[in-house]
Amino acid sequence: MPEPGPLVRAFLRLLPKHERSALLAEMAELYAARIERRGRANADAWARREYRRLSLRVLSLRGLPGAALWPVRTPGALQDLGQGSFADVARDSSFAVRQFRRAPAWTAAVIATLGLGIGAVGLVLSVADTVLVSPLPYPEPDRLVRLWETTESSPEFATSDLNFLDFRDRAGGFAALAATPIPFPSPTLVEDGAPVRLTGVQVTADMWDVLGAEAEAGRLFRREEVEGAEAARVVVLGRAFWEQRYGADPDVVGRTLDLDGVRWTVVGVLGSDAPLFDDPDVWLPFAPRLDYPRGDRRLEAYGRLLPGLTLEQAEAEVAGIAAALAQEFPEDNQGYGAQLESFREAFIGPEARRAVISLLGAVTLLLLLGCANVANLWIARATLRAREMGLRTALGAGRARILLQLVTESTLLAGVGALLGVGLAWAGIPLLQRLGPASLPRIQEVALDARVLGVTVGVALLAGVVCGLVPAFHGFRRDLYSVFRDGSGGGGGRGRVREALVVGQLALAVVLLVGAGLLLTSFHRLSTVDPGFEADRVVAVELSLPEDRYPEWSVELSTYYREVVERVNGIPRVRSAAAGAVNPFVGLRLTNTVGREEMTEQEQFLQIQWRVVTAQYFETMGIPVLAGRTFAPEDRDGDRTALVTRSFAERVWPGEEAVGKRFQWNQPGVWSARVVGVVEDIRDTELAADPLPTVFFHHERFPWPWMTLMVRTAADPTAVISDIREAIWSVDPAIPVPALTRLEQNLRAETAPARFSALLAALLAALALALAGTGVYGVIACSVADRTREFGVRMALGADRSGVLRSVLARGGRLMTFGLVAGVGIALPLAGFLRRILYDTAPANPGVLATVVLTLGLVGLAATALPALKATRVDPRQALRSE
Amino acid sequence: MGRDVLGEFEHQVLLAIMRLGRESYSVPVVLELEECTGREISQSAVFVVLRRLEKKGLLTSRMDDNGDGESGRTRRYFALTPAALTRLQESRATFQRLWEGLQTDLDPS
Repeated sequence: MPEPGPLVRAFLRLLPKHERSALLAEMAELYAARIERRGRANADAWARREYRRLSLRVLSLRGLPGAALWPVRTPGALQDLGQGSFADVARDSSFAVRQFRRAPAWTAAVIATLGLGIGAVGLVLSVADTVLVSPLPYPEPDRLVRLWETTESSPEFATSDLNFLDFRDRAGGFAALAATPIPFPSPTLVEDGAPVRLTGVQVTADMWDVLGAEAEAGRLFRREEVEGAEAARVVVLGRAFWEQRYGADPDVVGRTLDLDGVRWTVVGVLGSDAPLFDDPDVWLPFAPRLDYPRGDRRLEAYGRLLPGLTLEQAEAEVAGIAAALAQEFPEDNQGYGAQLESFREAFIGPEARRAVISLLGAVTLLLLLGCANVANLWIARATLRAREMGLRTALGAGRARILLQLVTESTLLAGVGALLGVGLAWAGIPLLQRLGPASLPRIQEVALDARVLGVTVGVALLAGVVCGLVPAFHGFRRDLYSVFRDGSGGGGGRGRVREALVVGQLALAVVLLVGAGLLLTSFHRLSTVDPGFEADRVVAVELSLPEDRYPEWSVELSTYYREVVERVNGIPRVRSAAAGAVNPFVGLRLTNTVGREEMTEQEQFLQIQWRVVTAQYFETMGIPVLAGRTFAPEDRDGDRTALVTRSFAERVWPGEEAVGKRFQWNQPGVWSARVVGVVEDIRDTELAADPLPTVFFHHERFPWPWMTLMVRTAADPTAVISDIREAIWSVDPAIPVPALTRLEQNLRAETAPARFSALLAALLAALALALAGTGVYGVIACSVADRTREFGVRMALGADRSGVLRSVLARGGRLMTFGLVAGVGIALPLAGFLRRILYDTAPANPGVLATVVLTLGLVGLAATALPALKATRVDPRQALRSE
Repeated sequence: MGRDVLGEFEHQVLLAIMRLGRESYSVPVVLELEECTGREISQSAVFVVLRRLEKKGLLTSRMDDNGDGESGRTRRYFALTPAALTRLQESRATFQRLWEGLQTDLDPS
């Protein structure tokens, strides 16, 4: 007899000596018997098999842990049903594993369906948890608010220096109230001779208390040192900047930095991240200006409420202060109220919230769809196993025992599915972060944490187990007699449950497909919106000039930009160059109010966007001039002139010729300007919104410091980029030139969230379509298999094939009709939820609905036709004999 | 459940011992089972089941060396207990009832 290998010997050593020798002696005897009957080769092969089996059995003899997992192998499906629940579970598990190995396709289908559904839910749940639920990275974030001034027409208005000071002095509900002027500065750091452009934010010293921020090194600046007659030039570094540029060197504290030609002393490093301000490199102190007009609303205000105070209480207080200010300073504050917005709201925004909730809804539907499929798969399997269950009942297995078996099986599969799902979610997060729109707040923070994991796995197990139990309750209703009589086991009641599941699946699929259809339509509309300018072959670069050499509104500023534009225009392959105050879709919102010349009340004024541009701006951007002229040298001085967009002209002077008219700026009696030309509407802050009325002023008359240089090139712009950089530096080598971006990239980034939602929705819809299709196929195929004999009889009795085909198709058609009608009924009211994230697309969209119904109809037809055709090929003799 | 239910394999082992006569040891049981079921039976499985049935009170065993003197080793001989006979009778009756029902239905004449 072949000698046992080392592993087998090791196992054998676990047995008591007399058992071991008895076992080996018996084996030798059997070996001899086998040689006699079947020959040596056969006996040798048997011995090797027996050694393998023996190793595992040894464990069960010894009662070692794990022994129960490897019970005696029983031929056939019957299993020893013992008492003792743990041993049962273990034995059931091993039985289940063997069952699954016998039906690999079925098992894979269940695991894959559950895994995909769970993975999608886990992934989206992680996003939702981070974006909507997890606390902002500030201490006690619920006390953080944003203070807005409000007008009738706009609920969100910034505040002015003087108003801010009054709010700060009078409001008792805040632990701290801080302000930051917009736009954020981007100072130039000159260190070791090379200029570097930094991101910065100016804050009043109270911002530290609002954010609850501490210093990582050094200290943070205080109100008394930065507000007052002698404001200290002190700066706090952002942590990331400190780590990246200075290698977290604590000696940086106390050093002086040359920012925009001014020396600043570093007093400390901020100890926390500040996602609300995009983690600026430097924090500069800000002191509200008493000499600024009260009507110049340029400050964003943030506050931390006193502990225990609700948003409503605090809001009532600021509203009262706003009302008092409106009475005290009617010329600047009449018509202005105030309101508070929670930080989370301010940070996330309603669109992102809605998008995430919609997505969560969609994946939940997908999981439900998957569960319906899995339940269907279990029922199909239960049908095949009806005999086994019946036999077990006949042999005395109680319902509880069989239920335990089924629970074990479904839990096992659900567990594997959950594992797969968690793996998919885990793998999906980096993918999501790479593909997801940067505008989705906090997307980089998304991670699978224990809570999300717990919920996901809980959902998974629940879903899996419930799916697996559906057939159990059905099995019990069937009497033994029918189990043995009716071999196929596909009872009518079971068929109806499966049909109901498929109708539900179809309905869910309609909902998902309608959602995806709407988002795709919306994305298509959005990506074909005409921004009003031609973005191709235009590169943009934002420039920022140091305040010491180029003071705000100074002639140095206008000279600088004029020269830069001239020199860039001199580059051979440049068609045209100009500068504008706004980098499309990237820059800030510059808004103000205007009124007709004869208006005397602020309330009558209209909110508009304003832009400062150089002369060739319209030519460079390809914005058509509809009437009048563009800027000319004579606009540099004398009468203030402006170009306005078509919607500006239509809103301010409806039905009248705008060119030659005058409008008042900001509020009655400040100053007015004359319209010299009308241009086409543009969308350069938000593609999805209607174009705002916009007015353009000449840069040489209003020298605004932060301009974006736009260059239209004759061919591919990449070849010209270094020439452009040289041209800019030839005017002033100390000005940093950041990377040039193509305007097309800005446009693409603007449609990125819509593209992302559409992509995700399309993916989910494709899965839904596949699940619904296989669901229909499964049910029809099963019913065809069940009715093989019936078809055989019918055809033997002379029915033609088309009759059989019709009968199967009719069954599929009935399911489809129910499912589609129910789906449309559910989808229509739900679609309204997407309204806010849809662009120019009605939620109740006949085109989308028709496409969805048609698509699902075709898929369903295909899924029905395959088994139907099979039914027509039934050979009557074969069908009858099979019984 | 009131008591242990016989597993199919246990059932088969009991029947094989019954067929082999009043008492037998593992080697003939394996061979008998292979003969009747037409498939390979694992010796160690039989080894384990025999001990388990003994624990359940369905078999008794004694050590003896009278069967094959030359090998010079003692073997463990098993015999059915009255309880085992009762269980086998019961299960046979169950199956017979079930099959009778089936036959009348399939073949009414």
